[in-house]
Amino acid sequence: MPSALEPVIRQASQIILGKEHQIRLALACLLARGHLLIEDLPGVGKTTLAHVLATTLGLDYQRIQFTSDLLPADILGVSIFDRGNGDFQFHPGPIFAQLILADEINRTTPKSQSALLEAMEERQVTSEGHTRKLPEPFFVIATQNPSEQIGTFPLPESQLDRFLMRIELGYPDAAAERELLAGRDRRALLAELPAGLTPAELVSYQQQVETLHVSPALLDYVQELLALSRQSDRFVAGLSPRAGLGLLRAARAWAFLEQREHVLPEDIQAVLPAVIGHRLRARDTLAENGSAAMLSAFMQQPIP
Amino acid sequence: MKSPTALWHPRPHQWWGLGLSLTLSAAPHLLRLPLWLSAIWLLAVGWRLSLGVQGRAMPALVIRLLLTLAAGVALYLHFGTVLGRDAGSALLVIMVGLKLLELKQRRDATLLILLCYLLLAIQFMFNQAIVQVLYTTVAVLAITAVWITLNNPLDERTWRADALLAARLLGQAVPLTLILFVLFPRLPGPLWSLPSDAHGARTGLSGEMEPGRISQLALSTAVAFRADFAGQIPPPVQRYWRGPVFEMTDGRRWWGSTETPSRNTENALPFQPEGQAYRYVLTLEPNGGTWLPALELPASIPADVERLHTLELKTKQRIDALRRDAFISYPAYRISAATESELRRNLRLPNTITERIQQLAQQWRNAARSDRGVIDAALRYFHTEPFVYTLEPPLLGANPVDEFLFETRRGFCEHYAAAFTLLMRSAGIPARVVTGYQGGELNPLGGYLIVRQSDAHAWVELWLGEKGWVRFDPTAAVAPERVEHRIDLNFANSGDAVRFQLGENSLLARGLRRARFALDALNNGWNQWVLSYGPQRQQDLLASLGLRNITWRELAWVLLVVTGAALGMLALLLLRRARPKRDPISELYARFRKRLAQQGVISQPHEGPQALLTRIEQAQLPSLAAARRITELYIGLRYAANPDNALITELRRAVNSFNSR
Repeated sequence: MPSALEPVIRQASQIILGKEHQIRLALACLLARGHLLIEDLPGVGKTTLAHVLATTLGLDYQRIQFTSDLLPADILGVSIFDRGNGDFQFHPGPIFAQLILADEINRTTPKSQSALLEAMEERQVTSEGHTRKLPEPFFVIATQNPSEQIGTFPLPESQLDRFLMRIELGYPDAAAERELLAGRDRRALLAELPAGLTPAELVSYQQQVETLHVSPALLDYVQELLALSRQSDRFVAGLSPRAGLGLLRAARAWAFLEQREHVLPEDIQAVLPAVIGHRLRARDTLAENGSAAMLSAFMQQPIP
Repeated sequence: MKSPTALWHPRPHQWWGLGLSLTLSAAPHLLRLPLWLSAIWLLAVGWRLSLGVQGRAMPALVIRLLLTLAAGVALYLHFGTVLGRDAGSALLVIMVGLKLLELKQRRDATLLILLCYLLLAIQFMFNQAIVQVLYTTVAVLAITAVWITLNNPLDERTWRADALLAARLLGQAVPLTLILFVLFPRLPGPLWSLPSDAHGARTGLSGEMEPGRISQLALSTAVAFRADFAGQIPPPVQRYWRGPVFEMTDGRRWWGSTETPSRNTENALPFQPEGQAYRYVLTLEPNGGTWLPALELPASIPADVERLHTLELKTKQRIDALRRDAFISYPAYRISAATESELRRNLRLPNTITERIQQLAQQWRNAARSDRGVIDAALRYFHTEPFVYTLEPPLLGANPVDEFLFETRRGFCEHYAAAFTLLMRSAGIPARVVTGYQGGELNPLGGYLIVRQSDAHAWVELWLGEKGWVRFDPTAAVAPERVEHRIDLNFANSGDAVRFQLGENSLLARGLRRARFALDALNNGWNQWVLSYGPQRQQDLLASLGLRNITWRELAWVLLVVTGAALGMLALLLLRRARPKRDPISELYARFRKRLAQQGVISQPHEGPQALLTRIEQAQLPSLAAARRITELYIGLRYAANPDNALITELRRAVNSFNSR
C-alpha cells in the first residue's frame, strides 16, 4: 500500500530535477501533518515544488503572496452583508484550501504572520464568533527569502517552531540543470501532471503513519539526541519537547515512505537536519544556523 | 566535533578557573621575583581575565608582541642572563602570564594548564619543605579541577563535582607516585644537578672568622641541623658541635691551618673517650659548605668525610643536599697528643699584637703560679670588667682585639674567643679558636634536638700539658646564661646586651612554641623519610628486599616491570568494570560489527543497521546473506513492535557463525 506514494515521488522528481531527497522530506512533512518552511533564494523552484505536490496529491491549492500591506482578513476571509438574504455572508479567504503556498512569509507584518500561524496550529479559523474548520488534509508550505532582510519581519524562533521542517532546495547539480535547460517548460509539464492520489487516501496514510511502532531502544536514541542539544555549549538553548515530538512524527513518516512498519535510527537521521536545524541557534554567531557543521555532533551521536 | 584549532569562547567561570590555576602556580614564584615583574604579571593576567569575562577579544597583536619583548628585555637587564635557575624560572613565569593574553583556542588553555604544573614543579628547585609540598598538593588538585572544568561541555556540573573528580584522579596517581619514589634510580653526582646558581644564598659556618661573622649568622633562625638521640640526650653544657677550628690569624681574620694532613689514616682514635657515649643521627640541612658539625667528639665517621688534624669533620663534596649521618660521640674526652709544630703554630702572635695586650697577659702570668691561674685570671677579667655580650657590637678598626679589650668592650662570642686566644698565646699557653654550634632546642614532640644558625658559637681550646687540649668558653664568663639558654632574637636589633629565652610565661607564647615544635617535628619527619632518601638509603631498602648490589640500570628494569605489572593489572580491572551491562541483543550486534570490521567493513557508532547493511552490500562480502539475516533479526528484535524473543537464539547462532570469509 505505501508503494502508492512511490509514483508520486517519481512524478514530482521529473519536474523538480535532482531534488528527490527534498521531495521526500516535503512528503514526509505532509504525512506527519506538519507544515513546511522552505528557505532559499528566488528561482530555485519553491513555488514549483508546492504546485507539484498539490497536483500529484490531488489537493486543491491556493497561493498567498505575502506583502507588507496584507491584512489577516486577506488570509482568513471576511463576512459581507448580503442584502438579498439580509444577513452576513462569510467569504472564505485563501486559507480554506488543502495546500497553501505562503510565499515570502517574512515580508508581511507580525499580525498577518500570526493569523496564518494560528490557523496552521489550530487547523481552524475563528472569525466573528464563528469557528470554521479548515479542510483535511491541511498543509502549509511557507517560503522565506534569506538574502534580503531589508523591510522584512523575520519569524521569531517561537514561530519557527510551528514548522515541522525547514528545508533548503539549493541549486541543482550540473546534470539536473542541463536537463532543466534542455527540457520543456516546467509549467507546461505541470499542467499535464495527473493526480496520483485522492485526498481521502492521503488522510488514511496520515493515520497509518501515526500507528508506526517506535521501540524503547529508539526512544533512548531520541532522548540522547535531545540531551546532547541541551548539554552542548554550542547552542543558545536546547531542543524543546515539541521538537522531540516533531522529530518522532517526522521519522515515522519517513519510515512510512521507506515502507517500514517500525522506525529505525536511520529514519531519525534522515529527518534530523530538517527538523532541528531551524530550532537551534548556535552560540557562535558566525556559524550558520542549521549548517552541517552545527549538526555534525548530532549526526555522530552513537546509536545506543 | 570540537576541533582543537577552532576559536574558543570560555565562559566566565572557566576564565576565573584559568586565573585561579595561574595564580596558584605562580604565587610561590611571584613572592620571590622582583616586585616590578610580579606587578606586570598580575596586571597582564588581570587584564586578560577582565576582558575575557566580559566576552571581549584579546589585545591586539602589536600590544602582545611589545609586551612580550619588553618583559624579555627587562628580565635580561635585571638578571644579566636568561639562563640558570633564577632567571630561567622568572622568564617562564612571566611568559606563562603573557601566554594568557593570546588565549584563543582550547589547546591554548590546555597548554596553560600544563605550564601551571611545570611552574609548580619548578618551585621545588627553591624549596623542598613540607609546607611547599602541602601547598603544591592543594594547587595540583585545584588546577586539575580547573582542567576538568575547561573541558566540560556541561553547564550544570558544579565545581564540587569537578574537584571530586580531580581528587579521585590524583588519588589514583598515588600508588604510581610511591612506586616511582621508591624505585626510580637515584644517582649520586651531577646528572640531575640544579643550575649552578641554585645554591646561592645559604647560610652556615664558614672557613674563616672575622669580627661580625658569627653574630650575623646568629641572627638567622634557619635550622642548621637536627640530632635525634637514641637514648639519653647530653645536658646543655656538653652540647658543643664542632665546626672549623682556626689556628692562624693576622689579628683580624682567622683561618685554619693546612700544614698537617688529615687523620683519616690513623687507626687509633685521636682522643681518649672518658665517660658516656651518645648515639644519634644527625640530619644536616644543605648549607653549601663542607663542615659536618658533629657533637664533640665523634668516634666513628662516615666514609666520605675527612677528619682534620684539629678533629673537625669536613666532607669531600659540597653539602648541597640534605645529609643524614649516624654518629657515636663522647662529650667527655681527652686530646693528649700534639706535635711540636702544632704547639708552635698555636703560640704564634700576629704582627698587629699591641703592647697593651701583651702587658695584660704578662701581668697575669707574673701573678699566677700555673697556667691554670693565668686562665682563671683571664676569665675573671672578662667577668668583672664591664664587658657586654651583644649581637650588635660596634665596628672595629685595624686592630680589633685591642680595641675590643680596652675600648668598646662590647662583643659577640667571636670577639671573646679571639681576644681570649690572643691573650693566652701572649701568656705562653698554646690556644686556638673552635667554631661550631652550642646548645640546641629539644623538641618535646619529636624527642630530638633542633640546632639553628642562631646557635652558632665560637670558643677556645687551650693546651694544658698532660691534660691535652681543653675547652674554655670565655663567652660563658661574660654571659653564663649563653650555655644554658637560647638567645632571644626578639631583642637582637636593640644594640643592647643579648637577652635569653628564660622560660615562657604567657599561655599564648607557650601555645605558639608548641605549634612551632609541631611544625618542626613534621619537617623533621619529612626530612627523615622523604628528602634524605638518597642513593645509599635506596640501596639499603632494596637490600632488605633481597635486591643486593643492584646497579641503576637493573633498577630501571625493576621499575619498568613493577609499574608495568601494576598498571596492567589496573587496566584489566578497569576494563572489566567499565564494560557496561548491555542487553544481549546489543551485545550480539556489537560482536557482529566487530567481526565485520575484521572483514574490512568498519562500522561507525552512529551508523544505523540498515545503513550498515547498505554498505555491506556495496562491499560485496561473501557472507552477505548472513549479514542480511542478522540485520533483519536485529532490527526485528530491537526496533519492531512485539519482538519475538525466541529469535535471540537464532541471532546468536547467526552471529557466532559469521566469521567465515
